[in-house]
Amino acid sequence: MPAATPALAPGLELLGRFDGSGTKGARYLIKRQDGKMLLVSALLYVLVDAMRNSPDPDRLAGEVGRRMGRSIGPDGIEYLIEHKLRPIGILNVRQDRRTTAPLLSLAVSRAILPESFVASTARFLSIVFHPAVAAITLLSTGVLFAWLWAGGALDPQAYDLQRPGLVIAILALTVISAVFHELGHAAAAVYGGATPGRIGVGIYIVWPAFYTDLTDSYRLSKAGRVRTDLGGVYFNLIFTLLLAGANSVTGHPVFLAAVVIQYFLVAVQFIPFLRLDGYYLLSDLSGVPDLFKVMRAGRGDIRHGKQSGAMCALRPGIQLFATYWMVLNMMLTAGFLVWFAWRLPALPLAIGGLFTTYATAAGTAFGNDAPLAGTVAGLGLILVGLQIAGLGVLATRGAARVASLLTSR
Amino acid sequence: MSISELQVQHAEELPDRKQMVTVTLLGLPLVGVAGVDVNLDSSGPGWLIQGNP
Repeated sequence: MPAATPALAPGLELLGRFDGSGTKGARYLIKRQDGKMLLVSALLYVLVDAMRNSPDPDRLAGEVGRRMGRSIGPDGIEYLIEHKLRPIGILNVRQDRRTTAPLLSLAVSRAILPESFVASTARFLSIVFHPAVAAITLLSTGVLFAWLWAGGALDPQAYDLQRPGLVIAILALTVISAVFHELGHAAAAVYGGATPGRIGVGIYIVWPAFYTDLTDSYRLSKAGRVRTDLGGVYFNLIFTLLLAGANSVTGHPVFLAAVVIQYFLVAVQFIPFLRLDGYYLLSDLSGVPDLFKVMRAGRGDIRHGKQSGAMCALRPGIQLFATYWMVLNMMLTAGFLVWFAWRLPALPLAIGGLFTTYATAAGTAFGNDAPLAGTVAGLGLILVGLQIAGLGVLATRGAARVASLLTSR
Repeated sequence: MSISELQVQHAEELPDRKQMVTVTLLGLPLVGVAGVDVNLDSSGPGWLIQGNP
């Protein structure tokens, strides 16, 4: 008589079918007690469900076989438990699980707004996703954009940004808008029926970033996930209306300058090759939760000259999309490396020039007893440093990827 | 079910979804230029926010 199977870990939530999956077969979601989401095939989902009632492999084989309409023996059940369920931490056993950080993911993070505060604020703000409110908001932002465009006010050079106080004010408004952006994601998640986690700050590659933990939003429908992805930029658009309102009350142009910055912020969020909103949007539209993982598998396929399971499991149209995305990503990396190599000889001089300019400006300002001007120049210095460090890291990683692709077979 | 069918069963831990926004990326175009002018009014207390003339 076969031994009883290991028990399931406590606190598992079986969430049902993953809506809009890009794979050939359906995928199902299970939430672990630690908040991690697991994506499994129908067979494994049925097995986990059956394991809640009985640990006996014979009975499990009978139950799973009946529900799947296929015959499976106790050996098969034991194989699935050992080789499929155990590695994803679903069993109630102690094990050292080594996980590799996802490609281009956030490193070092710290909460600034706790889960309870985010949830209650998001619940209050979620009213703006009501279709009537959303329609009026989007129409208003369209009118605002057209008005600014017609008045030539979309060019940042239209604003006198030489006064450091204005720069600091715009910077402060932009940082506030970034937190508001994150609340937008959280509010959209709540509107769909998910529970947002904390809002925090972290380091993305080298850039400081705000984030919201939206892991629970995997449980939403495809439309709900897309809404959650767009919730951040939707709140940026709401913020532009608030800024335009402040401008109409005070008459101060700093608010309009901040509106223009918002448009740039929104545009940056749609870069699909970093883990920003554009990436998650593509991921949810295609139904592939981890596009970077598929890309990594695709690169392995090219290296080894064969198709792996990750690509084969996708529906033909999605496979084509993932391949295009991967090729585009690789072309972009190659183009960036060529640009970087081309600029490399001139880069030290240019960087030196930038640093000298900002450092001199900061020194002059502090010397003239103008601390705010000095602070702005100092911030400029930090900003330039961050961009150089970021591009350096991306170039190094890109070069390492190209080298591994070319050398290993 | 054959062992090959069992081997291809999908089981994956999804990455956390930490949706980010970074305002510092707005400074990226700075690196594309050979030099910039920093022309701040650093002459004294005139740097307080005032209405645009």
